[in-house]
Amino acid sequence: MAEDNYWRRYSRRTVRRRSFIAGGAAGLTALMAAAAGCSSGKNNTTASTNTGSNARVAGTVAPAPPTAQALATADPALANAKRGGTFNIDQADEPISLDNHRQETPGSIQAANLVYNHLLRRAEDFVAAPGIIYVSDELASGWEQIDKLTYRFSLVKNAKWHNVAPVNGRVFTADDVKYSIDRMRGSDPELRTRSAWAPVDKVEAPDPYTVVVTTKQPYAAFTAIAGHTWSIIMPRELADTPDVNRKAIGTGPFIFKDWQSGVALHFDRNPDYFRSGQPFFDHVVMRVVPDLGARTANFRAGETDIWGGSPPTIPFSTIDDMKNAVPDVNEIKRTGSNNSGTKAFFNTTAAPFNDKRVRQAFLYGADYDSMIKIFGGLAQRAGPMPLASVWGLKEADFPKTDVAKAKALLEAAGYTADKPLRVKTTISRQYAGPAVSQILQQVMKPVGVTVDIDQIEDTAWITQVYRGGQNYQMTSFGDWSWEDPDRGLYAYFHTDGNANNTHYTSTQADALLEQQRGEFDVEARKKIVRDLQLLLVDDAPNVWLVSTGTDELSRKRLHNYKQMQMGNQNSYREWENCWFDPIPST
Amino acid sequence: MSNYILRRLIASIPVLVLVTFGAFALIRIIPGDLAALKLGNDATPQEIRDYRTKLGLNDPLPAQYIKWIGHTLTGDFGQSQWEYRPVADVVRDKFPVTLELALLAVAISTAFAIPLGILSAVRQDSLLDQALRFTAILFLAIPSFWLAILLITLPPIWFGWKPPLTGYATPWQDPALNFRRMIWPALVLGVGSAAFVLRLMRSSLLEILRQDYIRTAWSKGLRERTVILRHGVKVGMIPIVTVLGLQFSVLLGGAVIAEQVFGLPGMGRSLLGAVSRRDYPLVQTYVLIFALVYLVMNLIVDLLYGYLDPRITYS
Amino acid sequence: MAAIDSIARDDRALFERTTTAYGVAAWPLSVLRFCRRKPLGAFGGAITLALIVMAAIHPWIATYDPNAINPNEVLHGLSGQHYFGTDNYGRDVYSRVVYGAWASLEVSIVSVAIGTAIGTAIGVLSGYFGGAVDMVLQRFVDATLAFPGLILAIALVGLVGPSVKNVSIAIGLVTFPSLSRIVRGPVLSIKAQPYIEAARSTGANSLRIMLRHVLPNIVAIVIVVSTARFGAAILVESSLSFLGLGPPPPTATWGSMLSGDAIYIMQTAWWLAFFPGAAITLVVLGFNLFGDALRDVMDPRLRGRS
Repeated sequence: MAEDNYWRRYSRRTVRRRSFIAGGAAGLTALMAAAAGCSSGKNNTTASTNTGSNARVAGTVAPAPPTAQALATADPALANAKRGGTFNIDQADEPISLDNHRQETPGSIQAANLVYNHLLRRAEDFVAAPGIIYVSDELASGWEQIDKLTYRFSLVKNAKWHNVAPVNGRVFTADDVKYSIDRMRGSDPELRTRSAWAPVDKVEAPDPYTVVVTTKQPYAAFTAIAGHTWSIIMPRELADTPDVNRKAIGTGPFIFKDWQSGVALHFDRNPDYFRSGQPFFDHVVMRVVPDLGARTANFRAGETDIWGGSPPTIPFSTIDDMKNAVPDVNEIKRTGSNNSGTKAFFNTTAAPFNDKRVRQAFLYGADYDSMIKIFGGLAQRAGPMPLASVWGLKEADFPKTDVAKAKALLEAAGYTADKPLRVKTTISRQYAGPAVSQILQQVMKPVGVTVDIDQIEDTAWITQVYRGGQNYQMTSFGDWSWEDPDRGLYAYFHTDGNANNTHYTSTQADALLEQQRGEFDVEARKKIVRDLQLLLVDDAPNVWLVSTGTDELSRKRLHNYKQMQMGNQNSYREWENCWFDPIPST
Repeated sequence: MSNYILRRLIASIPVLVLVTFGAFALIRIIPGDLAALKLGNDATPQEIRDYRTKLGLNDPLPAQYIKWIGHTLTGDFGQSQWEYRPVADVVRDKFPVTLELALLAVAISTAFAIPLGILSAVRQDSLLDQALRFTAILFLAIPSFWLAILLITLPPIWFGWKPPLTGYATPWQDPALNFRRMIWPALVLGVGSAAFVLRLMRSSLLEILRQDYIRTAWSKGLRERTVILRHGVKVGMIPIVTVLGLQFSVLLGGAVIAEQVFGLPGMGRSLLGAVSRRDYPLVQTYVLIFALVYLVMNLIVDLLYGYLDPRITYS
Repeated sequence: MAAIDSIARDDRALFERTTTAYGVAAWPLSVLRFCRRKPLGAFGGAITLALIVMAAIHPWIATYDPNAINPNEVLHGLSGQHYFGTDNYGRDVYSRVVYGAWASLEVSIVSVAIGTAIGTAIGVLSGYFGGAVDMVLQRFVDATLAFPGLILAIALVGLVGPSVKNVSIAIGLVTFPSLSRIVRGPVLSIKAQPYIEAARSTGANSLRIMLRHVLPNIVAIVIVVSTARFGAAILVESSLSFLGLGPPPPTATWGSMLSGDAIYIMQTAWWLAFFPGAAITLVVLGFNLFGDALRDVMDPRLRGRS
């Protein structure tokens, strides 16, 4: 299947919008292997200290730096962990590059995050601990915000690079962090991290275990960027060479062994991992299994431990059926758990969607209840930020389906029953374009709008529609959102946003976007983001439709496996917290 | 004879030029831009233009083509844009897989089709003949991807067994694993081909058996087996050889579905991705390989004619 | 995809031997005689006829709008309302299969028509003029044959978009070269016939000779080869759909109904993949049986013996 199937991607939540671009471009299918990881459950229980230097920083609490040893023993869940076994991940798409600064397709992220670490990681349960967003239990053992522009990171002292040439087990120091951040914000046009790190002004390493980062302007998303999946810390010995794409040498729980092209990537346990005792699997094999039928057969046969998905690709009845066939499984159902959802996406500079009333006709006209039903009941409304995230709007914030109002709006815009609106949605087979468009076409019928589907070739769509061409009316697809509203909304809806592909312009939205960017108080920022989202929903450069739920099965022998809260892209590396009991024989 | 081969090789040069230039132009006129795809949203339009220049994509098409041909002739196939390694390395990984799959499929096809085809012709209009013919025509009508997915979906449910779908080793590294991985996709590919060859073998043999020299052989009192095998089958093989030769190229190109479903690291899957991601150097090299294989197979087929039918000479 | 290349190449070999069969067939045979002598072929013909009838009257025999989703009836099994059940969008599978007949017929007719027209034209020109024309045309045909069909299909569909019509055109363009080869041989022989010489001496120009004297004599073989391709075209469309290169949604073609989700849901909702799959198999079988019989009847060397 070359078809890039969004619903298959939907079974996993942690893919970024950017990942989609490259992954889709590759004509590859999405993650099948779990992107979610095993979570230690330790982070949000760690005692927090507030640097207190600025009252408005109080919301973004930096937890006390726990030692690695303390972590391993502090978590009672890990006390019974067993070592051993080979963990198989069935991945639909082969990694493109192991350099996550460059490529973040689902496969690339999955593989690289077994090997590399980040400075920070996202708190596991955002909703339960809303004050803590990014915690420092990766390479940063602690961090504090000195003032609105300055962050100081203390680094773990016992981290070493994998003992592989050319890095050869060198000790990890602040210099590596400085190198990596400078690389990410550098000028290599192939690196996709540049805009996220662009607000950084300078990076200093006053001593081997301290890094001080100064931003050019108050940048509330900074910690989110530092904890972002593809903000991996890399050694210069490798990252400066072209080998970095086909090889990975990190500080992480697993050591990259080899990449058998089109077949599998092999990883071995890192015995010198800075969290002593971890990880628990002796080997990890990330197998490239492009066919959904094959992945399903592998799960049924016990060769993999996680399988599941979302309708319409994997209807929940199929999952029930599997549950009967494979009894020793845990099931995790999640309502609207996915990062974002499906949307109608308009070119706001061309007729007919340069008329706000026409866009709003979609907002009021679409039959959301029907869509939610088709997606099997675990779906919910989608918004500019996912509803399940702390930034998300509530269902009640959205207008309900109102066909009469939609018709009135169209009439005001000059589209009457005699002269009905007929639009063309330009899609590709990627990003669930076909599924979303077929449904949209039908749910807009009662409003008297004819939606024609024009399917074009994948790369043509990405470069000419998805990334903001001028010669299209609208498109419709499913997509993730970023977990931080600055990344999730600024680039897409600010007049000068580098991904403002709807060509949307609003001075009010621009002002709110600037305001949230400099607001460090989480509650205050949430309010701004809420106002911004209400504005976006009403202005409707996109009409957000629904996001589906997921239903996932995992074998009981896989312990401490938790599906992560949506948006936690760091979960990719958290296989270090999982173990087998009993250990499978093969 | 060697003269003949030489002339054939020379005659294939314009064909190769046409094919490579066709591929070269075709993949470039599909809308969509490699540079924009590769760089993403963070890149400015200027950076994308510069990147195109760096890749040489802003040069006139004929100039790009000549440059590529020049490099190819010196053994430099370029750098794969999305595999981040030389095209030659990628091809070295992928081509043998598909080659082996195609060979195995042709072998399976031959092993089934030729004996059954002979049987079908000899027992013309018997129940066996009817059954074989109907089975063959049925297999020709079943979509191969459908057969492949049935094979990986139903046996696990019915018997708790499934064909191996992960891992791969070359026959030199691990012949057993290689065979386990290859046999099922080869069967799926092979049965379709076998159905075709069986029908052809049958009709070809029937026709031969009506020829005068076969009647002569009968009248000389030779045994049935001798007549059929020695005189009938050898000549009857001529169209079969043609078809097998062509089937081989066909299977080489058609392996993509089997590779996709069974997860084999072959050239078809790679090609599909390369086209959709505009990996120009990789696509061009694959097309060149396809064309070369096709031309070489055609030549081999023609040479085999001479062996099978002594009336044909090469001058 | 194998099919796309196989129809491009296989029958070149198949008919290489039979190229002398041009224009000799006692055609047309009466339908009755055909049915008596070729019961299987007649069966195939009946299936083909049924397809044509179904395609012609599809709007009237469909029970639902084939694209209408129904959130309350997602993945319902077979029932009096939904003869073939419903799919994962709650659409009526029976209606989609019925509409798919139209699309499948369109794919096969358009692609075969294009392949036949171009192939015959090139074959006739090449054989009739010979020399440099022949040389250039045949190198072109060689190149097309040596070109991977998959790339050609992706590129063509990428250029013009994947509508049913465009996919059919792509299939037709991929498959014309082999026909031109098949046609060229007989044209060479016809050219040497005395009546062509006679026609030329009466002052007829080349175009007239080709149309009036050459073409009628190769009609039989063109029909035989083309018939064999109808079924193959349907298979190619389904393979392209499986690879995500087929007609776009919501078009109901049998291939698109089999590709994507349906085929994976078959464990719990077997009807999703079974009916379109059965339809493809049955119709291709029908085309092949009919084509076989037709070949036997029209090819004097095989007539009555196979």
